[in-house]
Amino acid sequence: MKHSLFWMLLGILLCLAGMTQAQNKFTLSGYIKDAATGETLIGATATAKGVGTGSVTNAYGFYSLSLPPGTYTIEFSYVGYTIQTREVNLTANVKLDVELAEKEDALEEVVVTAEREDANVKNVEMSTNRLDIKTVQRVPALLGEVDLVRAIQLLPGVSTVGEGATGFNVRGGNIDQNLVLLDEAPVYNSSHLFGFFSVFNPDAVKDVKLIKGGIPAQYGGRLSSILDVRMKEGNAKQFSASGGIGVIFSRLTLEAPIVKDKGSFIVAARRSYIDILARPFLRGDLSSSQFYFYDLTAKANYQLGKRDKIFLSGYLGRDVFGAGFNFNWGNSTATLRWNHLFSDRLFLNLTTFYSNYDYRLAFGQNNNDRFDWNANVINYSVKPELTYYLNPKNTITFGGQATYYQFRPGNAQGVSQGQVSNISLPYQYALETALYIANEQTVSDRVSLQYGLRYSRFNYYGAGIAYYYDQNTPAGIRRPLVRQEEFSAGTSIATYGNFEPRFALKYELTGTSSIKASYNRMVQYLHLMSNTAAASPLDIWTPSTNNIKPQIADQWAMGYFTNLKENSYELSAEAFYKTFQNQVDYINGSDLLLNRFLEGDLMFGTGRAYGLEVYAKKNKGKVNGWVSYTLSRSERQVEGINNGNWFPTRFNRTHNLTTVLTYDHNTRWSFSATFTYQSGTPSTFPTNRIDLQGYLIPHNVDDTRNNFNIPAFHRLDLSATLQGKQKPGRRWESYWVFSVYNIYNRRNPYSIYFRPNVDNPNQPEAVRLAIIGAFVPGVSYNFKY
Amino acid sequence: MKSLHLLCLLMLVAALTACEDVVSVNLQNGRPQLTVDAWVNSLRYTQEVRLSMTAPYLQNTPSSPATGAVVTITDITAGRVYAFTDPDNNGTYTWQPVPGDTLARLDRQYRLDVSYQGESYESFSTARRVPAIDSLSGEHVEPEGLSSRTGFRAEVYARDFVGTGDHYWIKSYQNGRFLNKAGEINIAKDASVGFGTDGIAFILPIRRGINPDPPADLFQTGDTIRVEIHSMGEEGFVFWTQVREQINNGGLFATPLANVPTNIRNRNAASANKPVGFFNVALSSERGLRVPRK
Repeated sequence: MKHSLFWMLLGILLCLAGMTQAQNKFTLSGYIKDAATGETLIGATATAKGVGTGSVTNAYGFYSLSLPPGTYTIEFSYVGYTIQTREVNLTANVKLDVELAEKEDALEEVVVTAEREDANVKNVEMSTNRLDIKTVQRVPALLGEVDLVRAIQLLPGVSTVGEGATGFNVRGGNIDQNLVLLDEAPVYNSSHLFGFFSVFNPDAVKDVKLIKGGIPAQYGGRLSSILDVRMKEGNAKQFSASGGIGVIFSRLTLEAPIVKDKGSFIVAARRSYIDILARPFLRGDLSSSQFYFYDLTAKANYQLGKRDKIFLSGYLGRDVFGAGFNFNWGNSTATLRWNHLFSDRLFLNLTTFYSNYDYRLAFGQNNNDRFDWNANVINYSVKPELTYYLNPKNTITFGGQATYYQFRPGNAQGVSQGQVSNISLPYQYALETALYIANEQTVSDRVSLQYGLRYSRFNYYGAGIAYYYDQNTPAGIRRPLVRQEEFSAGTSIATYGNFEPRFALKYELTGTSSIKASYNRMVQYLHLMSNTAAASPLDIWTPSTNNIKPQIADQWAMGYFTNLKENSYELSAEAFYKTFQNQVDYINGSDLLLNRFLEGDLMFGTGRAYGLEVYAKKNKGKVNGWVSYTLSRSERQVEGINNGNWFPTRFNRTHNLTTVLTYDHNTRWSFSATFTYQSGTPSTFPTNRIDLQGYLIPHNVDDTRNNFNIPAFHRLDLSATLQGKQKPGRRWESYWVFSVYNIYNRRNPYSIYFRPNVDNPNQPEAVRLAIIGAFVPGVSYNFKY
Repeated sequence: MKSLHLLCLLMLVAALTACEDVVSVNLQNGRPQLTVDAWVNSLRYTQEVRLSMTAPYLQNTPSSPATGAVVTITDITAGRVYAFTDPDNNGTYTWQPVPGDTLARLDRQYRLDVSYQGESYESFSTARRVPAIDSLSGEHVEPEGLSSRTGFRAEVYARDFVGTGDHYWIKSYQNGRFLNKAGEINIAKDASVGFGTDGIAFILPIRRGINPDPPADLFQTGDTIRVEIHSMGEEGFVFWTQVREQINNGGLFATPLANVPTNIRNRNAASANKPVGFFNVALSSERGLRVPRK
């Protein structure tokens, strides 16, 4: 029933959009690529001069432009690349692939965005930031290691609970509310080393887009943001290699054509190597200790005839620690995509992917006493998406997605004095499906719309056990199990369905300024169970069940966007208001791991977040960069916590200011600096202490949550890049990056906690923990061939 | 368990830069509440119920005792009343068993009554089964793995009863001094830490959980070690789990500060005087050892 409604809507939408197409038109379409490497360019523009219509390339570099018969001058452009102009005589549909050359002076005129220069004013999308990997590489990095997630934290509306914490928080949302996609496959844990580094190898990344609001209908499954990371396709022209050595990682990336201009591949690998350097110095048992992390990213693409292209990409990363124990975790993803042109105006992308996050924790050197535990979240998904370039005023996207999940919350075995206990938890299964349709419509020169509808459905099914808990238990206390019921394979235990409307509007005030507004509803069926300050690699992803309802968020956003001095400066101000339903919280003393009755320890509440983001960016000249300021608040209300009153979330940061500046001194030296200021995170402080059995136990007499803010976080980082001397005719390029993180050596508090003094247990004290409590220099050497 | 191991990992990787300082903070001081510290057991020594008032958290003097109260524990099953008195007028109310007598008997139900400053408080507890300590032994060890400690690493052997729902508090003493650091709180749920085990020998981390916590060294030759196992209900296990979490709640993976539960209540539910603390009547087993030469 619901599905037929969906198809009806699709039909109406197609008819509506079709009405605007009266006269006979021909289509000009093709791919826009980089002339040197053959990489397709995302967000490049093809414009018919004098007519005023244009098309922006999609994530696969494809554009399509419908025009009445005639002769046109078509301009192909992309920031940082030389504009190319072609005369096209349209008497039939024309296929035209274009290769743009990077500007020779690109080094001096540094590109801060990879979009068309006035995209932020002209495009209907809002609350979206695109980061060019070249920009990310210039930002001073911890230990000189270029890091995507850390760079994202410099954007408006993005924050983190603290240094070293995994993930990031967007507009008052929890870290599990970000859909992190690597070539369309979700990455469940984006961190190496708990959270110090992210899993993306910067050498293999082509494009990064963070969508915080006005989220288009093709995306779903998380409440707060989409981090869409696209990998490079590999050099289609010739063999090339790049890499480097930093303080933490050694990196190597190889790219080459499979068949020149038809297909190429890229393989990129990184590995930390402290363990190798440390090995000679480790004594005894420690000489067998392990501590390293690595990731391997690979992708290949091949053009099968004129209408088909396939891409195969994969990621494999792992952190391994061991010294008398073994602890390792990692993600693996594989994506197979097929691009097919049904016609010059109908573009198909069919994506299938596999994603797996798993960890293992094991203790014990002998078979009499040991503990071995592993857990996984596995999913397989298929996602067809069609883009129909109906006419220059309407681009319709429609498609669907089906994802099969398998949760293995714990395969665990304990052995005590030779006696084996199998303490595994049952697997859980779910199927998430979605259908969507969206249209991007240019209503007039001034008004553009993007609207769509997504219908998502989640089926939590057997084989499995459904648990039913006493709903009359007072909030905040473990709910006792009332009964449990076994379900056979394939039978539904709980199903949920939700319509998710999406809408965005742009109204151009002048040629250089616009206002935008958007609304979106997002639904999330997976939940990360985490009650610690920072999420840990052991945290478990759980499906929605008969007890855990899907999370829902509604977001309204409005913004003003303007460009000054011929797009040299971009300014924007956005306000947002967001509400959350079914937010998971935990009773005091909840037991989240290997707990069959975990759901009895959960509480559910509502949330709200609102704020103002101001962003100013300078794109051109020797000095460029941006300033971003966010004033916001993120709150929760949960019965059983804080006496049922609203309280600020752990990741609430009232003020969040970041400044990124880069300066090109000459062709060899460039410098950059970032400054970050964030209000301290809320924390619960005790008022009193209970003296019991020789312990001084902190106690908050009114049982309030997050009643204090820890001191603010601020930090200045600097870096300098030295380009190697370039010799004419030589392809070898190299550069050094020197960086200092936290230059004024501030001990930024991650937390303030309370404990008895170690020497005098009768004297309690407050302790400030700084995760990175000193300035950290770093250096890396990078090369490219 | 989780935080324990992750913390040692984190120490490994973040030792370079992480740092902790004692800082001064201005805490709001809340109104004092009566603390009832009533962990009594079946052992032969003097049984105590301590009454005190909660103090401002950072106060550097001891909490003030609550004196002048009337404290009794009633064996509801047998109808016997044990009166606890405060001869030193210091808030420590005691009852001394005569040889061969004990307060705690298997499966009996107990009620604690406290009358203090016109208010009446009560709590209930059932004495649950406790396994015998099969042995207390150990070995002299050299530095290994991440540990640089030397000395005698003790291990206590006991076996959980068949049937789930057994909870134990394992207390350990070095030369008569109770090891009372956060990391030395050693509790067990059905022989492990609540992972659904049952009827097996106490798992290794619990067997070895009786040793002094780092950075203190292990037991030394000539030390006396005494280990006691006390039974308790699930609420007791939850109580100690949270105490352990709350009294040293640092690191990347700290949990939000939260009040530990209490099973003491004011008979007048409308009264503003809400008590804190815990009452438990335990059956106990114990064993001692003098650390032998290497």
